[in-house]
Amino acid sequence: MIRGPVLPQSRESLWSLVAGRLESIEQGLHLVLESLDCSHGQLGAIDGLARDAANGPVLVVLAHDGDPLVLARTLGALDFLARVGDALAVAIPEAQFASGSEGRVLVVGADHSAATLEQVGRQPMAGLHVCRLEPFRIAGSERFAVRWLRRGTEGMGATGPLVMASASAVEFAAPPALASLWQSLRELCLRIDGSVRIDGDRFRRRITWHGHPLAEVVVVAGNLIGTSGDGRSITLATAMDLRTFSDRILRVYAQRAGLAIERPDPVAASEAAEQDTAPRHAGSGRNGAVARSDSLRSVAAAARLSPEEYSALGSPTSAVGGEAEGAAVADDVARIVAAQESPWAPRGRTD
Amino acid sequence: MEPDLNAGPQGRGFLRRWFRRANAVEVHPREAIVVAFASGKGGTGKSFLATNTAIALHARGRRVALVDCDFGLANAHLLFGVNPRYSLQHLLEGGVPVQQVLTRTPYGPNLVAGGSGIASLAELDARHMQSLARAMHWIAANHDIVLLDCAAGLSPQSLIMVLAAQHVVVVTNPEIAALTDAYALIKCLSRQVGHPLVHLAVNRVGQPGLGKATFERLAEVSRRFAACEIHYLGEVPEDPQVTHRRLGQPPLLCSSPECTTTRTVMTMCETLDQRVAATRSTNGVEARMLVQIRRW
Repeated sequence: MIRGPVLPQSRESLWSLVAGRLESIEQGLHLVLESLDCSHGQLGAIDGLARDAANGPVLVVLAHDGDPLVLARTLGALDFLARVGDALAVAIPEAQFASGSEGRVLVVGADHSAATLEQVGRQPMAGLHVCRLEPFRIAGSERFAVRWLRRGTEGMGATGPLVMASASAVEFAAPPALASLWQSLRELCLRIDGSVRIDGDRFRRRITWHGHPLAEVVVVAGNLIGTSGDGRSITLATAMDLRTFSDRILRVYAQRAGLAIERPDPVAASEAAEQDTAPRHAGSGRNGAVARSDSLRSVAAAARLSPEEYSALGSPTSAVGGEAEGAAVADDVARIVAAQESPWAPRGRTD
Repeated sequence: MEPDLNAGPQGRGFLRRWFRRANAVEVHPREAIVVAFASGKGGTGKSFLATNTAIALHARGRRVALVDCDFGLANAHLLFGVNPRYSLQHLLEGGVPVQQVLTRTPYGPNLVAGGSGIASLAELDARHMQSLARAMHWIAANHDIVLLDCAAGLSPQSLIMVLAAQHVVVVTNPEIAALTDAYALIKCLSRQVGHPLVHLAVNRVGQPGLGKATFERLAEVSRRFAACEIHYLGEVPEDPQVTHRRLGQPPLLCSSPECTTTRTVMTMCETLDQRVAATRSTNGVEARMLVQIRRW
């Protein structure tokens, strides 16, 4: 069965999809109002006005290759934000914008607006964010991935094709008063393990270890909210909050990594270290290493020699104990052991 | 209420320890390397080699302690010619601190004597072994090399001591009975994760080269059936001076420093010292013992 494109081709259909999923594009992004005209009808209306996690205004512009005014509308939106500034918070009180927060313009497109997005992304304007939705279907449901072509001043002035920015390279917009707290948390997490990764968007950071979620930190209304992998959330405001949150992250990490932090005694530490240095001597573990839970008595019982081992220890070529004597003794022992172990052993050669 | 891993007195927080470990170079003092002398069969010459090795290593400038772990049937103090006031029995049952149990011998090494003819020491339980583990920690922290003169066989007490060591010198004779018992011990050790490095010393060798041949035979069988590599330490000739020693005589290395047996023992000690020096000290001996005690 041939299926059509996942995302709708028309501008109206795309807007209905994007408007309901702004949170998927950026953490904390909410639509406040639709259809904002700031150019006296000359460039057409801007599709939406949204509020980000820092309570800053975001003008959302949909891109479509068939719309020649997208670039002009985007530049007009940027100019509008520069002119209006803080007054937007007063002019639209229901939007609950924070006074003093800088506005941004977010241009969203899909596979039918590649050329327009490329053109808009090259504009040397600060506060311009451009993303492209990459559609796919999974388990019968339609979803899209967000591919950022530009974030603010990042990638501005590039001459080559626009490439996706690294998620971890995007600056995290922590509230200025909590920036040092976030930096401390970030350094602590990176020191847990070399495989710990911190990535996300402007208002959200995911802390993972080998793909396992350890924690998530989001900016909500000027606050830093941390949610550890065990599902508990905490507002990070003080150093004590940071320690508590770090503690939880470590617990989740230890659980994921199989570390027994509930009993940090010398025995546990030794066992863990021995696992690291287990192959320190040749032959360790190649012969069916006994599990550590086995008792020492069972270990000793497992050392019983087989007839082959007896025979090999006293073969006629051995110089041990004199050739004839050593071989004879070993052969006798091997014969006795074989007879004990196998009731069907041949009974010949009684000499 | 869930305990805060960061809370508590200074230095007790898990988080603090965790990140301090990430920053610090290495704060733990280096512990002594522990070398066990063991055998499958009794009477192969463990105590003789252990005492003389202790003297030779001391002569090479090492701080050496010998712990007689032949619980209940110890005789290293006889070979040293000393009569210690305290022994392991006092340490494990009488509460005498390890500093007092440690006896300085006239030949340099310190000795922790095991009790001889004491039935209770032959029946040590896990609690006693934990006390010994704590004492071993102090001994290891105050010496360069700790030698363990272990009991023959595969008893749990003996295995705990052997597996707590980083090196084990398996002492055997070129007789088939001693050889098979030595192999049984090696096979037992080879099945343990992170077992000590196994060296072989062949004692009471009747003719030169027989010790090497014994080693090659045992090494081949160990490699083939137990997947374990063993390392040759040397051979000690059959010597009437050793077998006919009287009580009160000084150790062979001191009484006959020029005899062939002494020279071979010195050569073995030199080899052992070189291998010990290349050992990376990992976990504490106390922790290693406690790991094994839990498996009793």
